[in-house]
Amino acid sequence: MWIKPRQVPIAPSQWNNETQTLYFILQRRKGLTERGGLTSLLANTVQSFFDTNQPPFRILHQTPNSEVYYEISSASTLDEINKDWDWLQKNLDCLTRFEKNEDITDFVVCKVRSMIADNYPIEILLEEEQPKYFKTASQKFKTLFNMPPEEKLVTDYSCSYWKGRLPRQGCLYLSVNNLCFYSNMFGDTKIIIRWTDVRDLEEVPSLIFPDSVRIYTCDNKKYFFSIVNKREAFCLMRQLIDIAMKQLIDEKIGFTEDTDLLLKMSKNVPKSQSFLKRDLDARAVSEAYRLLFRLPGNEKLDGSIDATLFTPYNKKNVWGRIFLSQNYLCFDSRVKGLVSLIIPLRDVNLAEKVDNNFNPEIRKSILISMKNSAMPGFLFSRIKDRDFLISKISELLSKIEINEGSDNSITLIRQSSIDGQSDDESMNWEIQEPLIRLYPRKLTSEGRLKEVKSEKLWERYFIEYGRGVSLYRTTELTNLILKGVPDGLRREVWMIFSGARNEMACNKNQYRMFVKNSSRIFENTKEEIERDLRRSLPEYPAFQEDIGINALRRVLTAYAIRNPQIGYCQAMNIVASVLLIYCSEEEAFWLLVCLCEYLLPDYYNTKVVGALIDQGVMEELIARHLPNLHKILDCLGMIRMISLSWFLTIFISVMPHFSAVNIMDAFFYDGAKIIFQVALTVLQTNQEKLIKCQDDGEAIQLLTKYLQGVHNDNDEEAVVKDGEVVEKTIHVEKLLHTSCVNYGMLTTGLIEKLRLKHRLRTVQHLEENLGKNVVRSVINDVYLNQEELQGLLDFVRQEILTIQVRINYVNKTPKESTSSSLEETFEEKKKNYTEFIKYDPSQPSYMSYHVDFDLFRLIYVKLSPWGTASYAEDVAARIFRLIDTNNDGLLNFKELARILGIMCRADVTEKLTLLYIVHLPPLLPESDVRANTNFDSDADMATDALEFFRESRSSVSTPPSSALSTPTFDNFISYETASCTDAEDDVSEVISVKSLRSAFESCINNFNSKSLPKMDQAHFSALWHTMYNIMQVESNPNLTFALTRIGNILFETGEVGKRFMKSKDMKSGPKESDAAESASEGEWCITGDQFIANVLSDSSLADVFSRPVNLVLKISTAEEGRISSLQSLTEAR
Amino acid sequence: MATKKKGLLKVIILGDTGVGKTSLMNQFVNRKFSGQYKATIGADFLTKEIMVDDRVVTMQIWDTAGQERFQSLGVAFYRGADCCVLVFDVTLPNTFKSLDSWRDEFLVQACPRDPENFPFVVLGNKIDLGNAAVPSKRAERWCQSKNNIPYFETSAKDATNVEQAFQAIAKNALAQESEQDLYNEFPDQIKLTGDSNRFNNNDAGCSC
Ligand SMILES: Nc1nc2c(ncn2[C@@H]2O[C@H](COP(=O)(O)OP(=O)(O)O)[C@@H](O)[C@H]2O)c(=O)[nH]1
Ligand SMILES: [Mg+2]
Repeated sequence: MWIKPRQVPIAPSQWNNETQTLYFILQRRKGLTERGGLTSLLANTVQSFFDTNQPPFRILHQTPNSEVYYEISSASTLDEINKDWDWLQKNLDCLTRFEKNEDITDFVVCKVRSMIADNYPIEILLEEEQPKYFKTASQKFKTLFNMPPEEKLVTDYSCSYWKGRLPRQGCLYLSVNNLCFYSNMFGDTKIIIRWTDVRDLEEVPSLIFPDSVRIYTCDNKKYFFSIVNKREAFCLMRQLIDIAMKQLIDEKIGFTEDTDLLLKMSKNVPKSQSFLKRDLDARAVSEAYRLLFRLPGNEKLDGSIDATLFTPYNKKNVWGRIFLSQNYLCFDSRVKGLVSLIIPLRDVNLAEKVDNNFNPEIRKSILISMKNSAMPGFLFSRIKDRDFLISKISELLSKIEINEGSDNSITLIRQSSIDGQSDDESMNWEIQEPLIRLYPRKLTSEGRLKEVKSEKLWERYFIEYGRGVSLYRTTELTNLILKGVPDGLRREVWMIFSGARNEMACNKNQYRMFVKNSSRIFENTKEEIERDLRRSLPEYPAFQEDIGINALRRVLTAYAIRNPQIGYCQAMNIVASVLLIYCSEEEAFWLLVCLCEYLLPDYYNTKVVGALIDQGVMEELIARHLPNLHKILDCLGMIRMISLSWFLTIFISVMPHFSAVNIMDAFFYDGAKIIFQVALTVLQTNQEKLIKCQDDGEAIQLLTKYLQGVHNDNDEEAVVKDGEVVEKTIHVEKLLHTSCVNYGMLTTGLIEKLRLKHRLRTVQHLEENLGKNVVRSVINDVYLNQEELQGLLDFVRQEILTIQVRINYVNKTPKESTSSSLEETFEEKKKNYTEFIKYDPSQPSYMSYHVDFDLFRLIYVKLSPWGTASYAEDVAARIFRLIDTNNDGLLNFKELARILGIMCRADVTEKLTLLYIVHLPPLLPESDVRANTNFDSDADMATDALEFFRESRSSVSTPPSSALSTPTFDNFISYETASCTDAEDDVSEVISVKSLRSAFESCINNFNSKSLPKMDQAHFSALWHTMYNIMQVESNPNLTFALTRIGNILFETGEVGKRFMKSKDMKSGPKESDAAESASEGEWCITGDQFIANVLSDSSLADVFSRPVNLVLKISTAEEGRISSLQSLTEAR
Repeated sequence: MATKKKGLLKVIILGDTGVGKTSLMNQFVNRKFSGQYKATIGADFLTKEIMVDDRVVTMQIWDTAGQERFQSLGVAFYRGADCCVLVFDVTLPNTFKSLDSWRDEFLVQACPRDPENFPFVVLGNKIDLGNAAVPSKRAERWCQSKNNIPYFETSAKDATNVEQAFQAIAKNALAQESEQDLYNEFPDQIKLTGDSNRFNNNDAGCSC
């Protein structure tokens, strides 16, 4: 078994060397012989007695001339240790390549650690990774703010919080979900802000308070902090907020630490920080890396190092930096844009050291040779840490080989044989080749000439700089792109630069599989796609016929199956059609993947959030670069509206598509920034006219016309719209060129930064709007007013977020270490929440939020007027049951608001009706009340009752002798079945929960309490018990007295009913004695009317129930105690 | 809008995707039906001058994207509308059922002064297909229940009732406008200032 490498003495007195290589020794503990036998058995026992932790075999690592030995593996059997030994021999034969012994040791330690990580629960490793200082801080953070154990601290800063004029010196804690501050100057100050509540965050450029950060929260509060390490803290806050926002966008649950980082083969990871902080830093770096080279979302930067690259086309060595991640080796020159490289490791054949003693420039070099000979190879030189780099590369290469070995085509075949029943349509199809081959573009002779010329230029580039993904990307390439890619090469160029080529290569056959499974698509998505097929690019002849339509259907359907989160979004059809003109169907699919998932992130999801974010960015850019225009557009109220289709379709829906493809060229080459550049140029060009516009309609018309006139001289046919030839406005090449010249300062990095800022605003805005819609969708059906509903919704939202955090935590905990039951509840919950929180626009808004019983219980306890009474949770459980009409264990927001409204605002009768009903069987099962009754003879009933009440009053703290069993949600589910069996041997009426619900509804809606079922004695005493508990909170002895009095009256009333029944029995003739007895026992009863009337007859009791409840106040009190209540809830578990 | 042009009627067309909003608008403005429209992304609009009661007015017709995920985006330009046209497809009952929520959403976002009497017109489109699944009676009943909304059964394809419907739309819009002019002592300008409250003013709805 691998163990965490630690230094050990070689101790020859206790250990024998069994086998030895240059770097490793396999040892056996002395006293153990090869064969069993009594002596060795004895020795074994003695050994293990003295040293229980030390198994008899171990492997040590050491380097020649080193005095230090590392123990790296130990085992109790020879077989076991041999397994590790063999592994070492097989996998670590590269060690001789290192020049320095320290490097070898570093490498071995890394390796072993990564082996351990595969075999140990991650939590333990994480624990060990944390520096000591951090552990203390983390502990302090949890106690100070009463944080649940799963809330993870990222880091802390020394900080002042400015309130009024005085700074309070204290400590700022940043955790995964919260920002907290604590100071004990001028009394305790504690602040807790959730990241999801942050509305805006800004650095404050101030002379007086340098290093300040201001935070605005959703409840319109402002916080002002001065932080010693401001720059870092600010970036970290941004990042944490962004993670919180992305969580809201995706409705994905939670943030997971990237434990891969543990295995990362880095040499010098600074351990002075928490693991989480390092993780977040690594994320930020990886994101920047992916952005720089447009790599798939799962690429994690492993490391980077300075080096020179030999550029064969000009025979120079260019300084730059090598970046390495799981699947790519990239290079970027120090001089911006001079040259860059993206080398997929799957194409690499070998990485080897080369040295040229005659050329000082080629020193400490690595030569990367490629599998196919199209690219001859790449020479990097002057790499300081060459050995380490080369071992890293070989390590990554070997991993890739393993992955390639397990080709997924085998699983695919198996899959398809399972789905043998797939229908004809999805069986009989061939990958559609580019449509332009069948429907060629009609070019003018001039246009044709231009195509040929451009093709030649491109060919020449390929010859000089290489072809395929790993070609040398130079400034010249950028110029070529801007001039437009010839139709014949679009396919190749788009595939290479978008990254789609990589995706396709890594997922061979996936497209075919999706098409084969196209029957699995959701019915309404299918309809949506079908409806739009003929509304995609109808001007192109292929899309007036089956050939284009069918290919488009397959691509869109396949995508919806690949990514159900997005499914199908209008605009995707338009983009996909253009892709199909130039590319094969499969390529179009992968381009669409890159577009939807990397180039235009979140654009097409259910709220089109990405497009909204970019509109925000666009607006800011207009304000920055075209301030005059911004003012006027602002007045016209249209900024956010106009650009939507430009972004969603990359101008295809607003320009003639043969012109728009040129923008697409630049888009695939250089990312989304080109859309911003072109959009700004279009506005700038039309600025003068726009300023003169009278209204938004006129402005839009002007822009529409301008964009339709963007032309491309190559085409024979003029663009026709609505029977009129469209006036030409600008050549698309000129437009592109101007855009890049005028707005070259808009870099991908800048756009990303702005997106970050606007993501926060957009998401908060959407949340706010959703909230308003939810409130609006229920306000007419409940007793609560707007303010109360908003408060309740916020409260629910907070709690749901908290639960998500908790679920997330449990999911991450290794399976073995938690009790299974806990896990199940969470699994269950996770399912519920992910299923129901999902935003579905076809549902009423109030369906966006659901509460389960645990949350309802909390809400009942905190917010309902009866929540503070003892045994409130029992009542809550029954109320929950009553209103959960579909029995799914969840209440939607409307159901919740309605019941809370009844408890807080309804008329006295309704409140009492509710209480009465939840004390009827089967909501309150027979079995529960039977155990609770201690009235044995009906003669003593009245006195007993009196006794009972007196007793309860004197012993408030101790619950009545036979308390109701506390119903938890689980055993509560089984009530229905339990009560059914009860009912069978019971003479009383069988009432289902359903009939109770309808009785309840008719009481609430029609004030018809006549339909309420009667209540027997046992249930009545339970009801009275609850009444007593509710009154107890008032601590007013008069109320207790009143209760006793009314209780007696009601008991009498029940008696009367019974006597009446008895006399009726007598009349009906003689009966068997025990039958009569059982009948008479069940006959004690009161009606709902009697209950309500008698309670109301006492004005002090009636007052308590008719007193209005200040729900807003209750909510804010509950919010204050939220964190601590969460704590207690967790403990209760 | 800083200043609303006299004689300009702003009309918004709403309804589920695919019911024929774009086709209807084009039939009315260009007098022809073509199967060759792209699905509407974001918003689009056309204008047309018409005669109503011897008055020349310009109708500015706003077409919207109908897919659910776009619904919240169009709301910015609901404001200042003089009439709202609700369209459904007579062959698809679900598109009829959605009318309620389209109407509610419009009223909430557009904030007309007098929501009860705001002019709506309902069009049941694609009547040419002949397999209507929403009977006229049912649609009429709904329209009556909403304060007597005029109802037309149209076909963008054959141009059935399109002209009549838009005439009615113009008339109702005009009535609305003249009424509004009485109140309109200040232009309902959407002036945005600081960043932080932009959302509140712009498209997050109104405070009424
Ligand atoms: N038969 C028939 N088809 C129509 C009619 N109106 C529209 N369509 C078709 O319905 C589809 C959707 O129309 P479109 O105007 O784009 O709908 P929108 O999404 O509401 O704008 C198109 O294929 C039209 O050709 C009509 O009156 N009759
Ligand atoms: Mg349309």
